[in-house]
Amino acid sequence: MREATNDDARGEVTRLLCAISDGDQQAVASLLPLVYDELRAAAQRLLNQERANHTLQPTALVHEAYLRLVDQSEQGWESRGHFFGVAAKAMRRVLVDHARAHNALKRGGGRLRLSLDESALPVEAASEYVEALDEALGDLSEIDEQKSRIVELRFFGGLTTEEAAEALEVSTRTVERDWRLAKAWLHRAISME
Amino acid sequence: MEADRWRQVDELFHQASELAPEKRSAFVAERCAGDDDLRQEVESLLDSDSRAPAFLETPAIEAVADTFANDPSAIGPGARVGAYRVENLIARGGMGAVYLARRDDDQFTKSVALKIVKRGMDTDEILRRFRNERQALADLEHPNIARLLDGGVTDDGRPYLVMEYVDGQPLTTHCRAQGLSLDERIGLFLKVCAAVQSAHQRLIVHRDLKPGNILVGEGGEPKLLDFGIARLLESDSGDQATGDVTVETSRLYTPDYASPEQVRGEFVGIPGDVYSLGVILYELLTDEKPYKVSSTDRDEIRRQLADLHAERPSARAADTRTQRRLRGDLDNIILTAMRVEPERRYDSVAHLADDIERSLQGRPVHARPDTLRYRTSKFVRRNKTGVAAAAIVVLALLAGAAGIALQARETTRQRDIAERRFDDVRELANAVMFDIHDEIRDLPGSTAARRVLVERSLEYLDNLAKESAGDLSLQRELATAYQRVGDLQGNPWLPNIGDTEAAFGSYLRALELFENTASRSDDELDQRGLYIAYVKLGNIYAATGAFEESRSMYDKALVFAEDRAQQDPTDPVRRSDLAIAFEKVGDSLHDRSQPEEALESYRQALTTRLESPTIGSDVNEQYGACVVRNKLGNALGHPAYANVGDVNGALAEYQQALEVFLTLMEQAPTDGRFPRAASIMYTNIGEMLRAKEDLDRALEIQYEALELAQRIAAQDPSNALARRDEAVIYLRIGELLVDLDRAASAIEALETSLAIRIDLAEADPSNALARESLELGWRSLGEAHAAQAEDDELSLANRLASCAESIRCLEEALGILIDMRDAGQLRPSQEGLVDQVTQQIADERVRLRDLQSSIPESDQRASQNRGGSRA
Repeated sequence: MREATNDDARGEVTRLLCAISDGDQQAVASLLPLVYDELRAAAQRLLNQERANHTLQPTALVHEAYLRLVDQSEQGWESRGHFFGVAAKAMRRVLVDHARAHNALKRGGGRLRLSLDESALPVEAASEYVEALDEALGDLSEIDEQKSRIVELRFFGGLTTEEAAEALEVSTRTVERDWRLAKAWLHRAISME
Repeated sequence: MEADRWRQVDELFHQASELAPEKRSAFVAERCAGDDDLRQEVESLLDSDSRAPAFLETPAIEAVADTFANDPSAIGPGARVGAYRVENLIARGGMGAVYLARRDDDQFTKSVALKIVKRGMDTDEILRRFRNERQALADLEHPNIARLLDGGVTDDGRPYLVMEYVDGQPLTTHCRAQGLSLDERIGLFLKVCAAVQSAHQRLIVHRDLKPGNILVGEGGEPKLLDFGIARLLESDSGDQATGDVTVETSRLYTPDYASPEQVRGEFVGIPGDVYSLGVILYELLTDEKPYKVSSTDRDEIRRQLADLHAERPSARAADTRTQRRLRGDLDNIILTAMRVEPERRYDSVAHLADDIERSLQGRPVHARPDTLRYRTSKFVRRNKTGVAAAAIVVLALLAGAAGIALQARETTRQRDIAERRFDDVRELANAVMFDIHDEIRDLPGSTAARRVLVERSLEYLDNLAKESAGDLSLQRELATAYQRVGDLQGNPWLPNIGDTEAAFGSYLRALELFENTASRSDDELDQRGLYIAYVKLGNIYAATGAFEESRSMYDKALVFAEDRAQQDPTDPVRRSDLAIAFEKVGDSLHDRSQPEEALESYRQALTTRLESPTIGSDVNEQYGACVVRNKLGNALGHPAYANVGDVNGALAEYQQALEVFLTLMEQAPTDGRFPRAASIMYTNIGEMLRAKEDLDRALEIQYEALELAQRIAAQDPSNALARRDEAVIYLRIGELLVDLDRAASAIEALETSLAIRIDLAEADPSNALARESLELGWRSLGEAHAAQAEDDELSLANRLASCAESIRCLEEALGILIDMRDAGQLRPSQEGLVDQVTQQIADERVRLRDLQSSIPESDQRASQNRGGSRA
């Protein structure tokens, strides 16, 4: 049973990736739920394995999902890039959904004003700002699509600068440069709320 | 924020951030001199940048990993869904994930498969259907079908279904892993059939049958999963009321096993399951899929499935023993189950199973191979709009068959086989030429494909004819074939490829053959064939300007037709032939500038048509009558023809005809003749309105005509006739615009018209009509330029240019007229044209000199050069 259905999903993902390569935007929407489910499951597995030290390497997560979902023999770099792009979107959804549920419990549905720490965020605060970030990122994408995608890939997708550059087919230099401005812009947006 | 502004911000932020922090402020202030908003924006971003160096640097997943692991909505081992406790994930597919689970409160702890539908599917709709069908599905009790036990909604709002858990391998995997024999595989398949049949009896269709949904457990019993589930999860049924076809179902079936109707998004019933079973049996017995569907695009899959005829399973079998087992009955059974048309498959799974059992017992089966002729003609009908592809397939069939036939005939020992093959080829060539050709003849866009079809068929027939010179009926077929080829090559009255010379040769060959057969046989086919040969030759003579020859052919046709109509006055075909003969004689009188005499013949033609007993019901007769009305109109008052000056009479005829053509267009939207006829009526009505000086309405009507003509030409760029119509209408629009004093627009329309005429004449240098039409194109453009040169409100430079252009165009026209005169191709009505155009050129030369003399001294040289080089 496992074999058959995984094969189906794999064939489907491969076909959808080809469609995305051909510019079919509809295919992104179709691929998203598949990747979403797989990422969730992968996170579950990885967390169970790594419960000892409570860390989860996001790149490892995406790679595992990629390996499970995509027929390796047929996919080139371009599709890998597309997959990472979709995976980052899916991760964003996983995390935002999660954060939203978590926050709803905590605040009883009320709106929470955020003030950000000057340095790294404490883990407890993460689920709060993830939700705000999601919103701000939506605004950023209207001004500068590429910068918002870079944030999606790096922060939600957990990709390195190089992987993000590959996914977007731009230079690492561009990613670095855009990343810095996007961070500043988003930080300001969230702090001002 | 505007994109430009944002780019500025981006650039400045980037440059500033590269500097040491203490230098940034000064840099920004300097670069934003005077633009405070910009400065503030960049400063504020730089400020953010410096305040949170670690912001976002830790990927989100790490930050929330801990809580993620304890996510109440994540389904992992131990999670509770309804009354079930999840044990682990077993599969993941297009619809969602399947978990192994156990009923929480069940002391018997029976394992179940818990299918959780993925996000994004319409939960309410699924639940509604689930409630509706739950009882039917729960009642579906069969030892080979996994039962649906329960269903509900998870806490986070996703529907789930609980099914009997089956521990096993997919059918095909099992057969390969166990190395099952052919008979064992068929045995398993028959069990599957019995299970499917039992569900069908309860009116439950599977719609996603595939090896992955048929698991075989340790006991070797197959078990079907997901019966009725596809239907629950599809989102199409909600739209049936509105008739909308939704595409949402596309992800819920597996293309490799889906029936063509399912791919088309149509209703999938029992025949759909029969088809999928056929594919499964194919794969079971050959270890290969009949064809690999290699696309996600629905249209592409549809096209692939419609075009494909699966190869015989025996041809794919791995070894010769299997090949022998499959060849014949099993091949036919599988291909019958897999036929493209649902109504031609087995009408139930029981019948499929029955045929398989018959073949095992050596009894005769019901499945029959598709006949060659059925397959080809069906194929073309299905692919009407893709006839080019159809032609290639048909020709490939023909080539093979003809080769076999000719080879076989060389040895007398194989005479019987040879005779049969010979008949096959002949039948097929005829099917191609008659059934298929007729099927697509009036279809816009088919000219080129038809030529290939008919010419190649002719080659085969020609080859066969060499071997049987005395065979009367073969010669008759050949003669008809030549006529059809001639039509395609250059019948000026039908969509043609514009090769008049070749058409002439083909018609002549047809005439010879029919003269021979008609002298030896009284058969209707031969007698009428001879009549048609006269008419077609008359047409082509007329088209090449040989009016005397044309008239003599038409006269022969008329005598013949009158004779035949007298023998049997009630025969509608003979009546129609007689009407055509009158009409043709009228044409040749008209061509020779005898409109009164032509009118006489046309009226006889119309009367013959209208008196036909079948005129009320026969589309072709109605069409024929209106064609005559059009010609009556032309001879009554159309300025492009010799006419008797009765404009109102002409207008009435055209309008009557237009109404009929528009009605016919609605009745038969795929018949290409009717839109063309309607377009011509519009343009002729426009001409009459122009003659009555109702110019604005005339222009309006001409645009109606143009729109129709362009639609036809766009559908079939290789259709010379459609393009010629377009050129004629552009010319008339141009002339109207001249009348309306809109010379610039007129010139544009006339240039378009001329461009089309040049294309057509270059494509068919031997076509007199094309040459004549080219002359008219040049002449009318020249006249429009002359009108502009005459307009003293224009600048001198413009008038000079127009005048020179006019001379150039008129000289082109004159050149063609002189060529035509020398070749004896000028119609009597055109004989005055040479002098007329010569005079026009002379007038324009005078005007050019006058205009030049009014140029101020300093400009003289330049314009003289310009005028001189063109004159």
